[in-house]
Amino acid sequence: MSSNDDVSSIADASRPNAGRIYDYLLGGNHNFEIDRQAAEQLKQIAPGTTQVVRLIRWFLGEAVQRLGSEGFNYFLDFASGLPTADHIHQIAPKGTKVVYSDIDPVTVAYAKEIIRDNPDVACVECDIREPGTLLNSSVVKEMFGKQRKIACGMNGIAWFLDDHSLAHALEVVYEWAGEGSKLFISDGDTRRITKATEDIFEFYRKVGQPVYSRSLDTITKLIGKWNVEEPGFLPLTEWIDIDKKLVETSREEVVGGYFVGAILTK
Amino acid sequence: MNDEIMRPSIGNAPKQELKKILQIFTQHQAEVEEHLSNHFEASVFDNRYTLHPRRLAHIGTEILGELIRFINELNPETCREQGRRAAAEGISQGPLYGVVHILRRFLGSYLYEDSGTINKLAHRCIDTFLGALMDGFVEEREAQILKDQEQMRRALSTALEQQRRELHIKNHAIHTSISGIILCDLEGTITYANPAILSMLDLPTSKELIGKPCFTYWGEQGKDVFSVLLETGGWQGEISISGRDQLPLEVAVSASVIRDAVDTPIGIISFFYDISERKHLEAQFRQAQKMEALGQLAGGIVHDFNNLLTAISGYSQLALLELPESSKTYQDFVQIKTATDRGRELTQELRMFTRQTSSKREPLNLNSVVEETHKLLERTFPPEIKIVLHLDPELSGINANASQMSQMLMNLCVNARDAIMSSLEKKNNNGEKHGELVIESYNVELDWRSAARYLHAQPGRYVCLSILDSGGGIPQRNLDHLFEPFFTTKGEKTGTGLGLAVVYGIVQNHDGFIDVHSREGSGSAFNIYLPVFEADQVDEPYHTYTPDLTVGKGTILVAEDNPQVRGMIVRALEESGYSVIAAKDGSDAIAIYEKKGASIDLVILDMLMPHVGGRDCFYRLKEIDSKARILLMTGFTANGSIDDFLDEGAAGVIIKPFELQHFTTTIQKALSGRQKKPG
Repeated sequence: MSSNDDVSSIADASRPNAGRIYDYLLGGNHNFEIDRQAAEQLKQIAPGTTQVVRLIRWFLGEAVQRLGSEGFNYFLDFASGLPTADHIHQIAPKGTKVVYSDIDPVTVAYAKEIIRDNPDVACVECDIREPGTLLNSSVVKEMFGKQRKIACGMNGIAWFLDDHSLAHALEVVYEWAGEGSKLFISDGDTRRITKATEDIFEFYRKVGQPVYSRSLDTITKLIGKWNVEEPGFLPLTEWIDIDKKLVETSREEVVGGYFVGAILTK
Repeated sequence: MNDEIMRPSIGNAPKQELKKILQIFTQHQAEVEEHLSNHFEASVFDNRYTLHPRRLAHIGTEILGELIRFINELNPETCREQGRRAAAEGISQGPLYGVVHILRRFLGSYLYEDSGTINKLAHRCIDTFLGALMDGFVEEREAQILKDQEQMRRALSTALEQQRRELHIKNHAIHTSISGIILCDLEGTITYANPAILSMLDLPTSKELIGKPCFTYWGEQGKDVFSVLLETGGWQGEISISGRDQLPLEVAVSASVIRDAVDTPIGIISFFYDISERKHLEAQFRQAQKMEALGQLAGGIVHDFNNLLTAISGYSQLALLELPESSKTYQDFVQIKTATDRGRELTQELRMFTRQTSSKREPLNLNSVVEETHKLLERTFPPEIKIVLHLDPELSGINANASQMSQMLMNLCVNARDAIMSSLEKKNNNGEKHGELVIESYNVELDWRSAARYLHAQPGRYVCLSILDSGGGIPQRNLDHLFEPFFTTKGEKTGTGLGLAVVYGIVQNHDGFIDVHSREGSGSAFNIYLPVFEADQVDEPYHTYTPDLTVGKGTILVAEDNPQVRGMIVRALEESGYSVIAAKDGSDAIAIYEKKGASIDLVILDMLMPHVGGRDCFYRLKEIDSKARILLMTGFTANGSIDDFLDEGAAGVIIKPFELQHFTTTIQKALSGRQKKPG
């Protein structure tokens, strides 16, 4: 089906959408009943999903606050989902230029509607495996001009990419970005995998979305020329400073420990 | 909660009792805060993601502080505000409701010894507080949901509007397509037909098609094609349909199955493309190839035929010079001469068809050719034919050979005359006694689209000469053969079949093209398009050459490889008083000239000879003697080389076959040193 047909299918509220499902899992309101039903099914199969999506989003918040306070006011983001509350543009300092992107044209169409009154924010359709689509887009050219010292997000997407695709995406962004640029990324560490995490991955495999587990050693090789900034790759729970005991006492089995995040620098 | 309801329940409570309740909370504040913090931290993943975990430790304190303020001030509005803040921050309803249980449990542990009054009052305080808190919370949540849902609604509305625009465009794309489009269901029943197909089929409305089987319009094999279309997925073919005015229309058809997003067949679409123009061009191309082949064949024949005619004609003329006019043999040779003259006319016409004619052109106004020809037509055409001229006084000039233009027009008019007279003979029973020949001239500019309809046409300015007759028209089956040499529908006595072939050759030679429109019973129109000459228009009268007959003196070297022609020329020259040396080819001529050039006054050089041809021989002789007088003799001048040779010092050119009078006059003039035009 053509891209135009996909955009037109926004009007079809009878089919669940990944971005809307994700929003519901985060507790948002940008979803329909069909999305909520799909999300509840996912939660039944993989109860840890609710934890994971929040941890990933909180890590984004931490990274953006940190980078914002360092003076970064140009942000690119891959696999953004819906730019609802507490996404980059609402955490970063006022006036920060943000360009989101997502592979799903329906999500992008919704995103554009959500941010349409904000001149500093845009959304572009882009598959992270071809990052040039975003980097060389007219939107980025118009909003960023010649600015190349940027902050970039690859949050919550790395485990959907095979090693080659991840390395390629990181390399292309590295080459495009200017000196001093930073990139925040989250991925998984196979040393910390749990049953709850496995359940989530199994669900994705069943719906035809492959998931790739890798070790921290592999991740540090795949980042190529990027340097890992202190404190290095940490579990997301440590980034967010959630007390371990707090997490352990939550009703669901801890899954946050598998996921790690880091800030990379050029 | 209604403030008016709340005030009587708590507002009228004894202040002492309220104070005691307040005391319990303030004295054990830290303990309550700890309970509340633990409660909220345990719900870390239950709230909206906007509530950061770090906030959880503080929420309990804030809520307790608000409760204490409420018991002090009994102002529910601050509670509602707290509820709104909680909702805005992302606290979920469940954890908030959980606060009630924690506070009640706490109260229970400290008030169990108290009288029921304080206990009940304390619970009412908590309920009232939480009620106000939830009022604010729900109000804010509803506002959030409404706002977020409004964004979704706007997105949906935008998408629907875009979808509507897309559908609108797609609908109009189909409706306004210049290709014919038919939609039908899976049973093959037509459900929609666009205006283009209606126009092709000459139908007034789509009602004529709706409900009918679509394969009816797919040609003879339509039904068979339809029966397997779902398997094959698609089909393409070329068919002929009956279009406007019952005229056949060549159409390319493609039919394919329409499938939805999950590949389920949902209908069938057929496209119809008018390929008449393409077929027309293909036919023109085939015709042009055929004419080219015929031209090459004819070209070869003309050369050899010319030599034969030259010999026969020449010897006949020589014999006539010897024989007494009263003798029977003299009359026999007159007949032979007449027959060769006729043969010469035929070769002239064939040369025009094969474009083996002089390319000498001049700026010319076709109207002057028409007017001259008109005078002749008026004198020679039957009175039954009315000749009408519609000539554009602003007609642009062309670069053309005047005599060929005249020949072309005459041939077309003769053709028209014969068609009209033939038609009148057939219509005689109806009492129709007159026919009409109309000659029109006008300027026309062809854009790329118009020019594309003709194989040899380029976009640009043209002069159009139209010859329209009221004859019987040309049957469709003859139109493709119209310009072929010797094709004729007339009797043997009335035509050689070269008239239109000559026209074709002349027009081609002038970079023009012909467009013929004819229908049986309605006459014919021959439209000749010739490119405009982009210079000042000059009306150059055309003229013919009238030779003088003369004898002369001098020594002439004749180089001609054909022995009959050579023999005839030698004899003719000797009869005319010249001394003649004969050479059998170019190399022989060079060898002779090298030895005897000083005594040779003129060389007659045939251009087409084996081994050393006329061209090479000419240049070699000029090398030997730059002042050598060389008369060129040829039957083939298609490449325009005549002018080149004249520019390089040739004394003249004579075209075979020739009249001996003309030949000897040309000799005399060549010897006198004047250049003359070819005849």
